[in-house]
Amino acid sequence: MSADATLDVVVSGTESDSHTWNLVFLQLLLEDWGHRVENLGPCLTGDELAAACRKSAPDLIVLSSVNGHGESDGLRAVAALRACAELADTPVVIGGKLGTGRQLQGGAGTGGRRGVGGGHVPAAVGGRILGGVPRPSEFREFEQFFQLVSAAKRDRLAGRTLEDLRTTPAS
Amino acid sequence: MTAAARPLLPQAGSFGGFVAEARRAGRLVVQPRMGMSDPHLMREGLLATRRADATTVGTITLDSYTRVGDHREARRALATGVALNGYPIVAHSAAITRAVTDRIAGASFPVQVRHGSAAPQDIFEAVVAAGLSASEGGPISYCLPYSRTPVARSVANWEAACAVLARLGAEGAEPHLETFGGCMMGQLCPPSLLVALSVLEALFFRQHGLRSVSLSYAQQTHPGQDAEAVTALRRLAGELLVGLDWHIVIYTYMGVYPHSAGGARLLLEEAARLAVRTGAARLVVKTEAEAHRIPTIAENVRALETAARAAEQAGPAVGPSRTPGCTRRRSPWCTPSSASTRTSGAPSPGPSRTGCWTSRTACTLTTPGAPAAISTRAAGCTGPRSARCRCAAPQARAAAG
Ligand code: B12
Repeated sequence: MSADATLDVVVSGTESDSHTWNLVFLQLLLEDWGHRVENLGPCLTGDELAAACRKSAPDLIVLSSVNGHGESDGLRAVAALRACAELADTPVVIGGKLGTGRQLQGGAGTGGRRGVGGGHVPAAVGGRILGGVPRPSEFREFEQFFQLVSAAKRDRLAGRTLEDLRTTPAS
Repeated sequence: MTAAARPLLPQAGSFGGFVAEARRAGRLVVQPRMGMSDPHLMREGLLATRRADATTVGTITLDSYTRVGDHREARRALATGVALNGYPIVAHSAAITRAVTDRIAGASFPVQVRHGSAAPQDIFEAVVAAGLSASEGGPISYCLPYSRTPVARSVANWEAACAVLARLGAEGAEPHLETFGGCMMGQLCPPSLLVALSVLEALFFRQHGLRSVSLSYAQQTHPGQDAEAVTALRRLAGELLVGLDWHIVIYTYMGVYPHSAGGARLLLEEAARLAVRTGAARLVVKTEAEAHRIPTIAENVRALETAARAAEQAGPAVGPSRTPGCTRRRSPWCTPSSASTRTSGAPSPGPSRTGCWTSRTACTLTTPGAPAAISTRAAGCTGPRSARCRCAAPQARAAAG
């Protein structure tokens, strides 16, 4: 594997969901993958989430919801994030058990715009919805998403270094 | 229980009274975790619970929006027909909730509202307005696992909420509150902490006007340790809750649940045996769907009946003395001399249990639900028949539904 950049990640629950072990699990998993994690805990309103993210300016925001209200809570959270100019492009991923019906408890999703539960993920999400209940061995897609974001950060950092070098006067 | 130390008998027809009555008859009360946002489905669920082949009480579990006080979002879901993860008792009118429980809830089938709110004042107002009087929670156990609310504010909220419920006492009803302290985060909490919280929350309820309470303990990962924890809980409650009507309720395992149906069933049966072995009066069940999704009504009924059968086979919670001369295998409840025959998971003997008791080992259970199942008594056993035995003398089943 290429030496991808370490990411600053915010892990957060959603507004009505008080489940916490899922957040603990994600924090440990992502730290194990080598990233820095700020775990905001459960039950944040959209405004609280946006304020916290504005402060820490993460490379990636991971939302988790398992109580069955994830679809509506998740969309509200993303709307609040996207309302902040600083967070307009920050990648967001959500996963867990997103609905109370069976439709969201199947396999992991694949794309950012994938239809979920009969509805559609608005373009505003700009990230991923992993609607299944992946077990650790099934976290491949999640990991691939991290690698993409991580590689992009590496390229960005490398680009900046190159730019710095180029603009350094030769003496 | 602590009959001698309790001047106040549990009020007949109340939640506590129903459970005490079942306990006297040697029957474990079983209860689902059940809540749907559609009032028709909710009513259907209560009816099915009542009709289950078990001694049951009903449950209305509330949804997450109501728990965090976001009633606007709950109303929006109702308006758009999106299913919630529970029954939004504040968003629904009192008239709707009364219609849901009408001719179902009552003295022979008490219904409890289970929520998970650190600010339950409006929930308790809705409970009372709907003519109900039993709920659950506590200032710590409904705060830390359920919200970001600071504990001090949760305590103030719970004082106010207890006052709403205690008001019913003045009107002749006997409100009931159950601690959730025996569960907390669902998993990885030390039993000693759970026991302490359950007792403290029961004391809090008493301090704020409740006279009928139950103390919870959630099954953990070691049956022996669990039995000891419940024994400690019972002893502390006996010492500290003198004058109250109280009982112990066991929760079937509250952490990550087995994915297989068989594993789920085994864990539930284990919980039922724990309840019987420790003399608990009530058991809240979990279903085979637990690890995957919110259970259907049928899955809930199956879990209730599975638990009831497992409890029956484990023998009644309170048994008569061993008949002199009886040589049958001792149940874990037996106290007498030969401590070596006790299983390692058995609780320490209570002071009043001088006898031993043959219970189910003496007779075979036939079809569950059959009104007068006849079976042969094990040869040579002269022990008294248990209240649960359906052998020989036909016994009327509990008229639950
Ligand atoms: C423990 C537990 C609780 C505890 C939580 C304590 C706490 N504060 O953490 C208590 C008892 C308080 C509780 C309460 C409730 N619970 Co609960 N709970 C559970 C239980 C038993 C285990 C959850 C757990 O700890 N899992 C451990 C973690 C590590 O796993 P996980 O959460 O499943 O997350 C995994 C995946 O989902 C995935 N994942 C999660 N997030 C993300 C994000 C991304 C990006 C990715 C890629 C993957 C991913 O990765 C994790 C590891 O594999 C589950 C059932 C089960 N699984 O056995 C029910 C369960 C989650 N609860 C449920 C519900 C509904 C509730 C309640 C609303 C009560 C109710 N109506 O029944 C309340 C919630 C109140 C609220 N405001 O939200 C339902 C959800 C149903 C649904 N989605 O359709 C479940 C499934 C039970 C059921 N079958 O009904 N609960």
